[in-house]
Amino acid sequence: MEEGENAKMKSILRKRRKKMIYIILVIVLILGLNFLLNPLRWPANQIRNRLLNQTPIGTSMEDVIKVVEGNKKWEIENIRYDFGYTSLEPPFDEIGEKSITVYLGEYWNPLVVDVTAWYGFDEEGKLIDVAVRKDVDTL
Amino acid sequence: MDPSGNIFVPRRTLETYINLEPLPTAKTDYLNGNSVSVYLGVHQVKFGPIPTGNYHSSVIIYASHDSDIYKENGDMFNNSYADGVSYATLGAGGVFNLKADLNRKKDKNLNIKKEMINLNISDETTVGQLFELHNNYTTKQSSSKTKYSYFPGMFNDSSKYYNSNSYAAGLLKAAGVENIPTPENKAPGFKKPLPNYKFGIHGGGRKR
Repeated sequence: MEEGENAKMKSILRKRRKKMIYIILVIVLILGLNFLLNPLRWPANQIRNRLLNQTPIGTSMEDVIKVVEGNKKWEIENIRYDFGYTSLEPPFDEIGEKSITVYLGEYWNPLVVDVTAWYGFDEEGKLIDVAVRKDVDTL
Repeated sequence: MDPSGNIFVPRRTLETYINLEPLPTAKTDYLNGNSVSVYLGVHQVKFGPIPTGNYHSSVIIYASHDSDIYKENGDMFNNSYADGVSYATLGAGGVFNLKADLNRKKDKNLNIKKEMINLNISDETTVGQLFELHNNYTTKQSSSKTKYSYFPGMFNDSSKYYNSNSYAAGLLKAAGVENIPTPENKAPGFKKPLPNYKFGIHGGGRKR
């Protein structure tokens, strides 16, 4: 009788253990997918390509603003009608006559990594280039 | 009530007797009547959500829209502060190598600053020099890399490793700023400024 109860108990514990392992695996899988599928973790040039797919060269400033505003995770930091943005590469020329700075978000690596995009427009307000940079906040 | 119609309440009275959170203050006038001004901004670095207790410093440059430097380099002053005033930041960070950039996200976030140290620079020539020295460093940083360490000299040969605080201190030193104040908060590397040659200054004069 006692042996039977022990066996039953063992079986219940085994099932619970299995359940726990499945739960942990699912959590690890979700975290892993979140890590892999988070576009902010992509290299900066791939993020830039994705932005250019959404708003190709020649897109109007108004349309770019609409697309950016449509993404709840993004934040427009600055819209400038008097200056372009500073190129991220030497000789650090001004790109365009107008510009928009967009904060795309952050992730932990484990340090905080911020991702920012700059859109440059010509005098007519047509998109001429996009730049993306990741800033690691560290000492 | 003051002559313009604003209600004046003594701030200390409110905080002391009603025990409120400190009242939001009006925007600080960082220009103090000058066309430009330079500050050292200091904020705490975090590992994810966890504060590390160590602080990062960067150079913050305010410019009036009437200043020549703003008219010529307005694209660099990408952050608006108040009506007719914008600012730019010069700072660095790294993982393996020390990388400097204009307007890094946390450098330009004034809300997280623990200290704003006035460097008493109000001439556009020195500000122009700061940008030029920063550009000298960033132009060469891909080909002539500077080794990065979170704590320069603690776990490695101190003569070769630098961090963001070394960058800010070195940049100011290269521009000839005297009596550079050290942040009150723990800013490792600040007392180990990046040498002048990293900013394109060789020997006694600037390399042209």
